[in-house]
Amino acid sequence: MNNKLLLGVLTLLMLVMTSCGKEGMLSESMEETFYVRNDGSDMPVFVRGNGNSGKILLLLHGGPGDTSVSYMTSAYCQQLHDHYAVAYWDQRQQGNSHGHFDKEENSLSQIVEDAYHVVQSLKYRYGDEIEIYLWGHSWGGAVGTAYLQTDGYQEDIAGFIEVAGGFDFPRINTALRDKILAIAPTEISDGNNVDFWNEVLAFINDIEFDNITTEEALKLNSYAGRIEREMLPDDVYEIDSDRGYSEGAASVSNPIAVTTNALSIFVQEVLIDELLSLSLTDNLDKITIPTLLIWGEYDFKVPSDLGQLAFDRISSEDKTLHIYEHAGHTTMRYDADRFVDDVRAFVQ
Amino acid sequence: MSSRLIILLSLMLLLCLPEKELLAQDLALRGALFTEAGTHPGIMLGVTRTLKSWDATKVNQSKQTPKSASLVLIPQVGMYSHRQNHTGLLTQLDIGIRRQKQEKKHYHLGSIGVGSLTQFNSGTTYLLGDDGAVEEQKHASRTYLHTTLAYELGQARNESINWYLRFQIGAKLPYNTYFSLVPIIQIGVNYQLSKSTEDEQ
Repeated sequence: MNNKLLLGVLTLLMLVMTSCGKEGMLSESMEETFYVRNDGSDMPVFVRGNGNSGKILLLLHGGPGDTSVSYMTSAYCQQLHDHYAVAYWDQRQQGNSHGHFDKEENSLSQIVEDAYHVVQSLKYRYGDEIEIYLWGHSWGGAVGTAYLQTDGYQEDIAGFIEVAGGFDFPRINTALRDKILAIAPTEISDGNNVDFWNEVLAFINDIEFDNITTEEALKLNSYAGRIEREMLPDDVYEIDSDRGYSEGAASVSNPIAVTTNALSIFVQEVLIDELLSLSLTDNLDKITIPTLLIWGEYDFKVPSDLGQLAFDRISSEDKTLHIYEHAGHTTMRYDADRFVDDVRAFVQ
Repeated sequence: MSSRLIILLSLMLLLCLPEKELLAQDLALRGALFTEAGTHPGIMLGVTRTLKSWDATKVNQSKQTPKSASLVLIPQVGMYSHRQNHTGLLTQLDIGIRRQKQEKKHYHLGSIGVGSLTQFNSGTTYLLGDDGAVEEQKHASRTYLHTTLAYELGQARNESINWYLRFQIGAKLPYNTYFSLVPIIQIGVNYQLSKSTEDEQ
């Protein structure tokens, strides 16, 4: 056997498999991948949609522990692609990001710094004239809020779209408690899932909300998801199960990497302690750029009180709050058409 | 350990032995197509070297079934492509036990291995310097230690060729702050290059 021949074949294969076409050009139907490397992490950015618009929505995904690709295949994103480019960025240790660093090095401030690197890379790749909008959902709303509160970071951002943003976890917990205390007695007197509601009431009565533990916070979050499901009409809830289009086997995402990354966040409790005490409310007035806030009336994970709070505190002169009547935590999924219309009205 | 050093050491295991020495041993060339994570296609090349064989027949009062067992060494290199995500370069050295009933054509092989997995990022990788300047890197990569556990089922077509189906689960580490799994299914062929003249049983 000729060893050099074997090595040659492998080298050729590598060149073929890693080769790619022209990249970094805006077009009407973009489908590109690039990476941003920062402090031990290689983070993919998948760009999809209409780049000729000159506008890029940078998605800050939820979690922590989710992936941007889980949004990419949804009906609302498919519609957004007709109008704008969407940059799907997987945050460090989440989704398809890879690398190596100590778990103590993963923090909100680190992720905000990573986001800044992503913004600068987008401008470098597509030109300074490109307009970048931050679009944060849930945990991504906290990332976006913290980003815009960082001195000098707002200058490169054209607008902020926050959907059910989790920017203040102590307030989220107390708002949820208040919602449960308001709803549960009625549900019990109506005979709806009496055992469940009694269980939830007993649970929240045992919690010291000023000193909530990780286990309690995670269980409360789990109850919030269950309550959303209980309270939303069945035909509305089923919309939430519609993940839109599927890329299936051709997906750019690796489900095993996504799962093990998500697992590592919870097994190692990465970000969890920081998240429990995270409160960005006091500096919301630092946000001065145009802001669109969207919340769901049936969102129990991040109740709509938080949306109203953000609306009241943000200093922007151009700010709008929409509360969707029949929507839960993944607000945009319940009414894709309305969401896309609201985003278009805001961006244009 | 630098990524290039890990790859080089692994490749040396496969490539740097003198060819004459290799051919004097019980040696088969192996090539396979595989999928990583079920959907990402790849190709794997390597050799199966039999280090030692012995009679593994179990003495049973009612029936004696002649069986043989072998200790095998399997160095492999491979590549796979995950569209718009990354390209992976695998090197691994497995050691395992192959068992076969003498009247049967099929064999079972279990092995453990160690090697490397290098992920080449798709597209350009950008780095922002302290001075605010963005630097571009093509084919930027990171290399992980890759440990594997595998089961292989093979069947002889003739004296020179057998096909096999191999199920392998690997762990790449340290991956972010933890580890990640790398499941691989191979379907391939062993081509017997040389057979030991000594009967070691």
